[in-house]
Amino acid sequence: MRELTTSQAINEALVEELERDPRVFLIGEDIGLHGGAFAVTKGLFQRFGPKRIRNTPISEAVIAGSAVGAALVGARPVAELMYIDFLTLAMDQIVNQGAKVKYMFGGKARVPVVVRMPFGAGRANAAQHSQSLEAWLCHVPGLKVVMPSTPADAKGLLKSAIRDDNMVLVLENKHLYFQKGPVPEGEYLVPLGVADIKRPGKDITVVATGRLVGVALSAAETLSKDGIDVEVLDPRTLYPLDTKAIIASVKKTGRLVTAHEAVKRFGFGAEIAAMIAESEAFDYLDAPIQRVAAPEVPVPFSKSLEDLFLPDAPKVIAACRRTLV
Amino acid sequence: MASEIIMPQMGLTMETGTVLQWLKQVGDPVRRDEAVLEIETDKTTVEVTIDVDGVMLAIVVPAGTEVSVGTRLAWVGQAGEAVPRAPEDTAPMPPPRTATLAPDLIAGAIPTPVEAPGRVRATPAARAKARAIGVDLADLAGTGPGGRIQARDIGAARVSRPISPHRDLPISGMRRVIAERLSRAFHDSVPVLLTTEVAVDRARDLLGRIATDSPERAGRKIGYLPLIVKAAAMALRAHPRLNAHWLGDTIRLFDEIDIGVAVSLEGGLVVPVLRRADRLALAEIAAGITALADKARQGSLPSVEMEGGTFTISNLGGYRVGFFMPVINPPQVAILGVGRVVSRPGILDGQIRAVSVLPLSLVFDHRAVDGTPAAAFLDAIGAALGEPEQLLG
Amino acid sequence: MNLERAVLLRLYETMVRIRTFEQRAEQLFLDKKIPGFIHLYVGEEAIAAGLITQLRDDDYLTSTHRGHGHMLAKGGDSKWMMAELFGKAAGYCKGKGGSMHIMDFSLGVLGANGEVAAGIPIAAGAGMAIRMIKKSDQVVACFFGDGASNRGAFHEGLNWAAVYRLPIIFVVEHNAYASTMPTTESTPVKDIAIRAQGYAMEGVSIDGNDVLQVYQTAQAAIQKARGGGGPTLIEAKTYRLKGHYVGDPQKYRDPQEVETHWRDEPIGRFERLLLDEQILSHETRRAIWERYEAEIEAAVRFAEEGAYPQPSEALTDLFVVDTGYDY
Repeated sequence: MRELTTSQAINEALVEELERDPRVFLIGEDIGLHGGAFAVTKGLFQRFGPKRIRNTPISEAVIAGSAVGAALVGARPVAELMYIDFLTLAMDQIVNQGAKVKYMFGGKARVPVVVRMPFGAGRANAAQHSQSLEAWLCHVPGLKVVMPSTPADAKGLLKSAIRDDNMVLVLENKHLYFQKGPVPEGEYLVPLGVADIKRPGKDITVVATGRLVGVALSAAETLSKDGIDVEVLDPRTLYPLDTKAIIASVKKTGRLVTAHEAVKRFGFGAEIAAMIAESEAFDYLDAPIQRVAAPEVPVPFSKSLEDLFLPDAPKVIAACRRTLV
Repeated sequence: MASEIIMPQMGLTMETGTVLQWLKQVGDPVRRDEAVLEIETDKTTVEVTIDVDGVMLAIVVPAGTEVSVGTRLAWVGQAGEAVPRAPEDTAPMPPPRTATLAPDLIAGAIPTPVEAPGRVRATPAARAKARAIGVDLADLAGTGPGGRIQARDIGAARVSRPISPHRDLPISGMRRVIAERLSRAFHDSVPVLLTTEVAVDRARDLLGRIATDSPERAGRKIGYLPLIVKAAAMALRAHPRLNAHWLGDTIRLFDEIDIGVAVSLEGGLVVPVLRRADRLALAEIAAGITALADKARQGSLPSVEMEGGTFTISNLGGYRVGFFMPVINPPQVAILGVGRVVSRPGILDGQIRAVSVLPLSLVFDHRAVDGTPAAAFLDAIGAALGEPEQLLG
Repeated sequence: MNLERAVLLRLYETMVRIRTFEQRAEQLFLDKKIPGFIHLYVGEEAIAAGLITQLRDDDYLTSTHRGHGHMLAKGGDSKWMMAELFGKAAGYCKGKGGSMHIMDFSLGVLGANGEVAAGIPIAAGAGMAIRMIKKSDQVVACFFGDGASNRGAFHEGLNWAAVYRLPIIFVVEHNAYASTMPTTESTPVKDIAIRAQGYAMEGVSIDGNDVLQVYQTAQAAIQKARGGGGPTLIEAKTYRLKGHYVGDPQKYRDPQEVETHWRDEPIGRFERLLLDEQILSHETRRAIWERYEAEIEAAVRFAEEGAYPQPSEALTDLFVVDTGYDY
């Protein structure tokens, strides 16, 4: 199968959806001739023109808000916030407007909006350009949140998100933009709300998201040499969450480790842990649940510090081993 | 119960603190929320308060000492209470289990399960499993941290109800020896069982005449066993391959016929040996068996009397036992089992009569002896018992 | 005045309809029939009437927390509006939105909004869709208050609309108070319209209580937008005759001041004009008021008699259920 980088895969998805539906258009900062901060929109401006690939001023409130407004009158915008850290400037429009419009209006509106947000640390971008804020968004009823970990998933999920009639936030880990992976030819969609078992196993379930999926696979490889068989489950969609798949996996293994790049407390891992503890999988747990996450500090700048900050394979391995004690 | 005062974690990065000054001394009363000591961290000086009422029982770390966060500094309790004796002064928070990990705030230590008296610590999976098979968790020891019971600890206890009332017998030396020897024999040898029924009416009649003919022996009847011993001895004389030892690389054929006769004792079984059984008269065999058995029961049988037998006879004729499969006495190559004589319809002189039938079971080791010779041997015994007059003398 | 009689009467009746609805709503709220908050448009009717009556059915508007007037002027159904205020299932939003979230997409009303200035980015979005996707000559009327002109979204939105020449008529309803704060204390400029200059946008400041001035200014702005001329900022100066919300003790202003402004209120002013020009007579005037009182009474009855939504409705209408992406 051919290999593309995540960036290329997303680009393909955008091209395909822009061609398929004339109501789709892009808005964001630096997405025009520059091709996007991470080269994701390379070539689109030349191909689709300024009306459909709209470079915007630095106005995140209006980037998000105009996406809502355009969607309300029948368009299907794909907005980009250059870094998820800038979400804070768009929160009113995403949380108070987009997420709630359908409900507040008695179901009589639809907001088919996609907001793409690069996120994540590891590039010495420091505290204000490196966060993982998926927990904020997953906490808001009315939003769907998606986090691919491979190029193939990134393409398929984005296409599904664009075709979804609801407000879908697509969180792309920056680290993965330049990573290659197999991407099928031709038309395909990855449905929202369906998890993917990236590595089946029988001893421990590791629920990992984003960059941590690759990290978990690497940890699993190391642990397999000691005869420990780790199952790596990638939710792919954070909300709506494929709870059935996670419950089934934990029932099989009896051990759960969550792994994400965001800070531990009140994070996505906490939700998985609580969901499992409330579920029928509770009676199958044979060890306390472990969460691998970043420490509770802003992302530091210097490499030696940032490396400590980022959850890596040894931390996942250690967490797995703690479930086997 | 006494409480500890420990060096508190005043900040995320604090690893040690220094006790600057004790504001309370041993014996001083203390109240909740009262400051008891001053500590210094790398950032600041702080008063440490207490959250119980009581009396200072002991000061463990004196002023001026720098210690790690979590170190026990003092004990507080009720007046007169003894200070608990800890095996060592350890910090309450266990260190992370792998050396490569960064501090707790990143890796997360395994929390020590909290002491909860009367409460069994077990994982949900273990509890579910225990419920399913009816095991009481209180009966189990856990192999998890802090003794936590895990699913694997339940697997071993596959009991569905408590053991019935019982008492346990200790295993005696004799029992142990028997167990070991016979186990070895059974597993090493290739035992094959041949059986035969011998009509013993004539033998019975003969024994009856002996009893009446020998007044000095009156009251001391000779039973079938001496007859069988004699018959076996004669047969062994004719079939020397059965009078042998299997030694692994050789088969030792013995010149003399030394037949062991198994004697049941309270604690087990002994097999005293009747030497040169083929040369003994029937009465001598009878006396010999009795003497050996008496000595064995009294415990005064020296072990040398039990060594060197070339063949063994095991008699269960005192019980309603017919054919059975005795275990060869190693390194012997055969053993004869004797069951109870029973009266059955049979054919005698062409007529249906009540016939007395003696069941004989021969087990031979097929490594040393083949089927036909063994069969011939057994046949010879049967024949001899069928014409028992030749056994006299 | 060179407007047709029908137009003038329509302007007048629109204002009467709004006033009647609002005053009735105030009574109902004080009688505890309406829960939550309501924010009354009393005294500002000329702005809604003067502009919105000129919009086409397929033009859009974004509104505010003080949005009953906009909705009524665009042709909203008073029964469904009243039912929504009551929280009844028959309301515009099935009882799920309330006063601050009233909408009618069939009339192009993209919703009242509980967030100050939030309608501005949304209007910008609608404008973008019109220009870039629909490529039609629809326009968007974007209403907000003087307080909103101090929020970030206002500045971002105006900048954006100017840069992309969006077909938007921004209307700042400068009613002298933002919640409990007098605008003179929160805003360094006297005329908010001047802020349009910062975005190279045309800004005009008018007497918002003069419905004809509103009408004329709006007409020009609508035509300009429709013709591709880009956005305009209309500052309609008015006065908030009622408190920020019903029940506001209004400690921050002198009742005398309010008294004074009642004399300048837009319906009375227009009435005097129409009576002078004999477009209205006292009889026709009374008939008009009675007609709208009756309409609003019917709306109240509709609302009172309507059922509350089923409790299970609390969990519905969150998402459009995915249909398998096959369209």
